[in-house]
Amino acid sequence: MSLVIVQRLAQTAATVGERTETHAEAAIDYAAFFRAEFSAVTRTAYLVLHDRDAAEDVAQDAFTQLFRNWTKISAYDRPDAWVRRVAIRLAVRAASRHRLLGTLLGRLEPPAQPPIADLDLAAALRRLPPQQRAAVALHYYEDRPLAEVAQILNCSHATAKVHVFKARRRLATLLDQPESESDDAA
Amino acid sequence: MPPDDRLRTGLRRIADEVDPDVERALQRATSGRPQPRIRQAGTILSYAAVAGLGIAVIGLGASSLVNRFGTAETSSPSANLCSDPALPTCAGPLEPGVNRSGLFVPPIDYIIPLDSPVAWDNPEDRPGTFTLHPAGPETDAIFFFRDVGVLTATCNPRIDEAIGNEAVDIAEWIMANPNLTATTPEPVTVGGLTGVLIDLSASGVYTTQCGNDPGGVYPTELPIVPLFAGAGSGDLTWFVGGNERLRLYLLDMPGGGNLVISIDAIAGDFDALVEISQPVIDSIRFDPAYY
Repeated sequence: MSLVIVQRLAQTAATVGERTETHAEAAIDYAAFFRAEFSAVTRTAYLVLHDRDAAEDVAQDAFTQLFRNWTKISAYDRPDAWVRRVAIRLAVRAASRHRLLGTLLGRLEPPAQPPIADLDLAAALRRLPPQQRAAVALHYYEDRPLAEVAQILNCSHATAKVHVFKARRRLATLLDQPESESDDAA
Repeated sequence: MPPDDRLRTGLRRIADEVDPDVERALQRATSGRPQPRIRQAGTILSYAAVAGLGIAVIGLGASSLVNRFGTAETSSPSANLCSDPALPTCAGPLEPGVNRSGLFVPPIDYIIPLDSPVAWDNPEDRPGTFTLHPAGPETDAIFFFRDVGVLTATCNPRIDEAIGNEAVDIAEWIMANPNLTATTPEPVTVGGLTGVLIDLSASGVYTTQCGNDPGGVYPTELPIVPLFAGAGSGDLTWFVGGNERLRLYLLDMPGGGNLVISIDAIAGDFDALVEISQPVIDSIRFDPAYY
């Protein structure tokens, strides 16, 4: 399977550029990057969307865009941040549309999904605005500092901080527990 | 356990239940095929279709698909490629040449150019909504809607009954709307229907933050301007916000009502989307037997 994929990657690269060793190397690099990051990006998108299929679609779209621009993006310091930024934007957009439509139709039930491990937390997360869900996922699930959260969400450090603060306060209320005194986001 | 640690642990438990098939996803991302949405019943056969093995033969019923030589073929819709699993009647990946919609009224004949720089797919085909999606961001596509009405600019938007639903009514509403930046409407004919063409985006004037309202209608902190709702089946709501740009073809139906075509770029390059969409728009013929 891996050899076939690498061959196709190399062939695809060759159709849009010159047939050089560089393309094959780039294709191999992309495949390695994909394997290292795809699951994590899908899981982060899932924390925003709460829909496994939609999360995979969003991640798929983000990595497809990355593939088309791999020559350029791979030269960046943080291609992982680039692909997350694209995925998060798509996820927030999709979640917003779903929620808007669902509210207007009066049916905001989540799509049918297999059981979720932490039902209380999952239900509480769904009540946050998508941008706050994304901030929580990046800060608490991916353990990214607020500066990186801001970079990925394409907002200021202060805005990212507000997203995390509001989200945590809301989650604390919904989960009926006091806020943390050891506030690492404030 | 401190709340922050509990949150981290809980998030990991939830997220770790998602276990995507990375190798299959890698194939899809690099196949050069469009990335249609997959919903439910993710059989091996449906994934094979996505991986480039052609139109899947797993649909329900049959629809007429006309090939580039103009002869009718029978093709089954690709159920698992459609955005609406309850109505799996889309065509999925599209072949170059002449194609025809299935459920949208009026039926649309259109041509995917042989020299189109991107692959196209049809993820949605319903009586009131139809979508042609070029390979690229899922959000960017040509959308067709029937019988829309404009929305009030509120956190709980509703159709503004004071505004008519003819093309000129909607165009005038757009031009007079301070929340929108629009080009001067131009007369246009598409597929036998007449109306106006207008490009628009959010002006930035609309700054209402609805994310914290009790109804939760606006979940983001990005102000998004309500545009229109309706689309025949009554479940469409369309907005514009941020850097999103739209080209609207507002067309009148001879028997009353309207048909709106929206070339909509949210994640990608609007001008590039318009350029690759124009030959498709120019090829459209709405079946006059249905209006």
